[in-house]
Amino acid sequence: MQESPMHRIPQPPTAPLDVQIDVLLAAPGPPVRPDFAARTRARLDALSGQDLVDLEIDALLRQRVAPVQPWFLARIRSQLRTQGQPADGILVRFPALLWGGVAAAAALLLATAWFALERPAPAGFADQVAARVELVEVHPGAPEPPVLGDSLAHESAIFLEILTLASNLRGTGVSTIAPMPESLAPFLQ
Amino acid sequence: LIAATMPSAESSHADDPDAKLMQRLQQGDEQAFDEIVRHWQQPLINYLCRSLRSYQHAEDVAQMVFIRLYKAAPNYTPSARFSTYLFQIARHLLINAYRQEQRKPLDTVDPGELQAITDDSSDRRVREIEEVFAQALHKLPENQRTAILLLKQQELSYLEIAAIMDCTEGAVKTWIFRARQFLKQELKDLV
Repeated sequence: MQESPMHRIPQPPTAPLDVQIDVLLAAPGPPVRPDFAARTRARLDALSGQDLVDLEIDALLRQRVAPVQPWFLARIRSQLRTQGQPADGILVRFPALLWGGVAAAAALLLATAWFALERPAPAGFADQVAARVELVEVHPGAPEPPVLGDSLAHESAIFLEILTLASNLRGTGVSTIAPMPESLAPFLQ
Repeated sequence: LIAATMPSAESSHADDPDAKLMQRLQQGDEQAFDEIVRHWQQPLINYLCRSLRSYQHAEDVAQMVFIRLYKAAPNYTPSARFSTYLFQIARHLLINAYRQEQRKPLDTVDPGELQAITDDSSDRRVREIEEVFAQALHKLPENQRTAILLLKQQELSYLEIAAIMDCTEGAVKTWIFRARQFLKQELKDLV
């Protein structure tokens, strides 16, 4: 049975409200179960390679775009699981508010990946990724551009980049930056 | 990667015992991870329990925090206090948990916890205050609740809280002031 936190902390019955609130805020929670650490270790050990990649993607995106809507990553994961390496099958639409963060994420991830690989980043490369991100921006409520509509190639190109970079950072999976799909060429300057 | 976003003060935090554990983990010492878990499990679950109002849920999120920490270890640099690093991860996961919780039709209070509460009737008034307090805390916006918990429960500084929440110290102080005003309003008839 769990003990009430307040039962463990003596409280002056006439203490000012501020003091009472401080006591309540500082009250310890339920004691952690003795096997918590062992179960955490077991959960860590049970993670599959794909789970670990997911975690890496989550961590990277949350750092740069955080907080991320759950569907944002769930959809990518789902596609990854069903298709393996993303090719041209990922459809992700973003609210406009999120977009600046995504662009920054792509650029930063790119720079980080190149740094991790100890190679100089090609001049203008990060800008190029950001430009691709902007290309597929979908504003809430706005009519979707017919070219982008349900076409999967453009969105997947961006996430292929991000996932590739995530893999690079972990030292597993794809080891090179994915080439830009030819289908995007007409939309780039 | 979190550390990469923080101000560079590596030398001032390298002596942090938890930072040393992380460095041991980087070098492949798996036991260091277990030591980190044992050291931080209670503070983390205290924070998550207050935020999520469910021990089960808090434990689940806490495990994910530690797993994230493990995964982040290769990129870890002691550029801030370890607690700042840890609670930044925790807050990100907590925000995600809130969103998932909002999609559920029913509250996620563990029946075992309800049983524990109803079984102990030695001090109904304290229980009542505690329950009203918990509800009031839950009504707070996430930033206010997180800020006041990190200050009063985890005893972090305004500067550390600002780093965790990626905001200014001024914003932290404002949130804490508003949170306190709200909690006082909610409790004034009981205490």
